[in-house]
Amino acid sequence: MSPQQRQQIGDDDILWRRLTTPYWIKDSNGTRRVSSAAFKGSPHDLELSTHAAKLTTLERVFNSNPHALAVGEIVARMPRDLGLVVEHDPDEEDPSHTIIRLNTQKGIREKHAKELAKKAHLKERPPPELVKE
Amino acid sequence: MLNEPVGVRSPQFSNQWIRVTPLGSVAYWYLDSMETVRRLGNMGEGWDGYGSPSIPVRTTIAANYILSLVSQHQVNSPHIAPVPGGGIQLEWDYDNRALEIEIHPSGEINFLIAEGDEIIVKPLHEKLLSPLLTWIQTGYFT
Repeated sequence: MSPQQRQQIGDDDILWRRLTTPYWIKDSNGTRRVSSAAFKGSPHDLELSTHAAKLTTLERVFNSNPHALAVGEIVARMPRDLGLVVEHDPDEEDPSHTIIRLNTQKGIREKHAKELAKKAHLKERPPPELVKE
Repeated sequence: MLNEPVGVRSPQFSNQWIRVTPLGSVAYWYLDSMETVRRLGNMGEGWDGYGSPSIPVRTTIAANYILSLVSQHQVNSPHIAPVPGGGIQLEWDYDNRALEIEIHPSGEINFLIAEGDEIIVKPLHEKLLSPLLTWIQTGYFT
């Protein structure tokens, strides 16, 4: 998609990070939370994929690949406050695709992941009987 | 069965048994945690839906080694999570404190401690494990 079709991601825009494994959902002092592992990326992939809520729906995020059990919801301001770039990176299959460019330094990346996980709101996939046909 | 010893191989010297842990002395969650690590090690490439490599055997061996040490302390079961790139992390949360131990696919092991807004990340040495586990439970280093 051309840069002209890219949209501005505002500080208050909601981003959803897909939680694609049950191990990224933890029980923390009796509350289900997002593990920081979900926000870590890797040295080989410093672009953390998220989805801009204003350009998609939770239903679509849950029902397209990669399969997600839940999403970690943050607002764009959170990574930006850590000095990270957030930018719309749409593709044909997913016009909501938005990336967070992670820090290249490992120790800092771990800190950032922890900060984001602490602030992330867990939204779990509804049970199948509640999903609209 | 409970007193049957469990051997743990050193991550650095994988052909040598360096430690035997009698099951009677370990935490209730120890065997379950090893099963979780085994499952993580069996996840195929792309397990995260974004093309992450699978978790190498040496990472699971190192994770099991750390778990064998941790299991001898009176600490709750860790949350065990795979990290994109092929790592494994162990996590604990107590009140407003958090401890994470991350085993990287390179063999490097780091810990992260967080209390309120303060977060510190450092390399983990075996001698730090006991003070860190005391801290996560009590808020004090001994």
